[in-house]
Amino acid sequence: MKAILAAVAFGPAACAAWAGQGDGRPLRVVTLSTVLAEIAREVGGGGAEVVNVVEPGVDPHTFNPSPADIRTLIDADVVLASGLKLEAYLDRLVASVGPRGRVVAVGDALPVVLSMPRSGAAGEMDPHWWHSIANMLAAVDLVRAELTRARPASADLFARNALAYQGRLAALGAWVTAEVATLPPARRQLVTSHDAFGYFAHDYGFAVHSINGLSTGSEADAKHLAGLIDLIRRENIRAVFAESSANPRLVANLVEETGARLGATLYADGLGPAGSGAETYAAMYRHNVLAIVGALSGP
Amino acid sequence: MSLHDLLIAPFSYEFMRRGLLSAMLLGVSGGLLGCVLVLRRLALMGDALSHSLLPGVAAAWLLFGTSTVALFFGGLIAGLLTALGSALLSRLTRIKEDAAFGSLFIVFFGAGVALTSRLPTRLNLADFLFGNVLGVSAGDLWLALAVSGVTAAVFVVFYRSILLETFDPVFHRATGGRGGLVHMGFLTLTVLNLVAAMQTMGIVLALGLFLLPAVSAYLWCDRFISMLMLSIGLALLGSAVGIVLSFHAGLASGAAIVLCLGLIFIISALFSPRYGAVRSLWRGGVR
Amino acid sequence: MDPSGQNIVLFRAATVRYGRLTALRDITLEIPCGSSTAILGRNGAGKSTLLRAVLGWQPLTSGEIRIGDAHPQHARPRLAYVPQRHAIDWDFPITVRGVVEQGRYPSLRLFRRMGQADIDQVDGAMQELGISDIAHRQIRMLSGGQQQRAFLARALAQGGDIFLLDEPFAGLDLFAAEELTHILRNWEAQGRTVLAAVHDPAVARHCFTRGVLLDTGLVASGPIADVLSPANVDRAYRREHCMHESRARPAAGEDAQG
Repeated sequence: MKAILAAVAFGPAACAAWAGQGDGRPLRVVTLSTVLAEIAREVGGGGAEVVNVVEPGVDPHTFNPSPADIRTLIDADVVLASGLKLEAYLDRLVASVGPRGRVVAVGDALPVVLSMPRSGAAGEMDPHWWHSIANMLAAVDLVRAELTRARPASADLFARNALAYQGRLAALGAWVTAEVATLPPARRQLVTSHDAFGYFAHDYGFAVHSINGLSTGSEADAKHLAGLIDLIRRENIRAVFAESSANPRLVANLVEETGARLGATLYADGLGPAGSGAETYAAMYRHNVLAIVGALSGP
Repeated sequence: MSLHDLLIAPFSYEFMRRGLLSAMLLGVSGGLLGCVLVLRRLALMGDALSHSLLPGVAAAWLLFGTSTVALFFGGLIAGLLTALGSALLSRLTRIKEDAAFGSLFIVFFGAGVALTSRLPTRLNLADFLFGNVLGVSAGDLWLALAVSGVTAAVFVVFYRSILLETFDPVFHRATGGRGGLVHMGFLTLTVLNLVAAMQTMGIVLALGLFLLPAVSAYLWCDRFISMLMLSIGLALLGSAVGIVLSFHAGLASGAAIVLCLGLIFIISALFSPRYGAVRSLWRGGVR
Repeated sequence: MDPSGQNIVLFRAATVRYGRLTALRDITLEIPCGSSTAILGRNGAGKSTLLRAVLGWQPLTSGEIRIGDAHPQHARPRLAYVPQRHAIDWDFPITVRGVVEQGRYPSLRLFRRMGQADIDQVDGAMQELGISDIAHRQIRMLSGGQQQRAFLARALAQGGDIFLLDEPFAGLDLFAAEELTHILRNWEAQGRTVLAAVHDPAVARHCFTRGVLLDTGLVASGPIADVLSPANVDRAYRREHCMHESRARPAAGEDAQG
């Protein structure tokens, strides 16, 4: 509290002095998603103090920061956001809060970016990039570069950490490829209540059929739902997936009408809360893949 | 497109049958209650009430999870507290009923927002707390049937009391009518219907079914009973046409029904032979 | 029911208090059968409270009111009521006949439809007031006098013999007021008891035979000319503040002199 008062009292001079203050203090990194928090923690190691303001379970599309969150944002050396307009509130937030550090929209600088499914609007991108492991690898590099830029003295530490983490991500990727290979291509049909799995589908050859629109806010129409029911019957799709964040009522009707099973809950918008078994990226990804492959390969 | 494809094929799907049935059932009771709301100048009450349900639904969710029954009773209790509380406040203090209602509902809404911000979940209020006409479950349908049946029965049995209390409460009271009781009963029915409608069909459609058929019927009728009947008829027509339209045109179904009802309303407001805007302008001047 | 000349409404020390405010103080009064009586007084003098007390809707703080031999709540079938017209929503979807039929509602039980006797009574009431030919008009489509007659017909259809009217002349144009005067005089001639709250003494003098002048307490009662003596009028109206009634006051004074 005192520090903030001081910053306000002495203005830019105090801030500058503070920013330049010794390298003994860990780098303050604030993230707007659970996945980015994990990347920042892995890359930063002991050299960064990572605070994530969007808790697991909060809808990142409509997140509403509290005063404490805003204070954290102001103090950050680096702010990491998912980008690709996932955080619809981001521009407004940055403009009104004016954080001291750089605000990096990670998704905006990734190699593979898909356009939004079912979207007529040109240039609208699917923001759920972390469901592609290739994108994750690139994101790790990006985060390493940002941290290094903010704290050049720790460059070596960040580079070592990034490499180790990327190694584990690559292993995860190999596991997923092997796992998905057990599912015949004809069965790779993913029906979900939220179009978050475009990148996953793209990487592993799935067709995605959404129940709602891309954001959890848009409402389904009768024609679309009827088409989906026909598709599930025709293609004999074994299971549909409802996410923890979406309206379960439509899915319940779909299941009842088609006889498809209701697959386990998939994590679409981030990691799971503590105790969910999906607290880390790898665990989250394994959970999703096992749930999808298991349900779709069923009798 | 054959007539069969146009009108019958959509209802080969269970979810379409349920959606239509729930909209029609609650259209009957919404059409009835809406007439009284419109005539007693309480038309905005539905909107206010829909906000006041929030803390009840959120609290029920916190305590009992997502069971439909718990959410229904949570909303019901919050709505009743608002409606009956403001009726009571206006009788016991100098505050008029509209101000009492406005104040209470915003307090409840505030409490609801505060509560939902504490919920550790990705709760999309409009989607999750409130229903969707395409997501009607068998349980929702029974709820709609029960609420609609009770409402229709009350209107049949107490038709004369409702008419007297709506038209001339002073005369009703003077002739031994229990005005306060009828008013409270009416508020209770309104809350009951609104909660059921929002739970099964969502806010937009619930409010649409409450208001639009009644206002449209008001523009055509010179008798209370015919206004009630026409209001029900328009609610049924709008629901059926709207849901078929949403099927073929790929529109959100709740919104499509409301748009159909809205079209009926606009046509009525403009072209009603006795009370429409066109006639009024034609005959020179605004009343 | 009561032989003519017998007192039909009796007040014995009737008092009504709302909290600390006294609305009616110690009213002892007899209203004879078959009379037409104006209840007079300035705003807040207790006219409406007195009407409501007779209707059995306003409980007394002390004292009693008898209608015939009965407590007001048990005499309800004998009472017919006409509320003030400004409380009515004239755009309400209802026809003249619909309004008159409401007169029968209080005596119909739940689940009971209107029988032939009820229908006859409604027809009779409309015929008596000459509104049978406009029975199917919506109530805004009527003249002021026709509107008032529709509500009088509803009171007739109630089948009582005591008519309680709350400010029946308020908001009527000259012609409609003349029409109403004619009707009320007719009713009196037919032996119906009429009790009306009237705020304008000139109107009361013109169409009622008896008067009750209130100033929370009873100032005077009896034949209208005696009740509206200059001294009484001065006593009952001197504390008024309302502009509208202060214009009525010199008029009342002129009448009293002329």
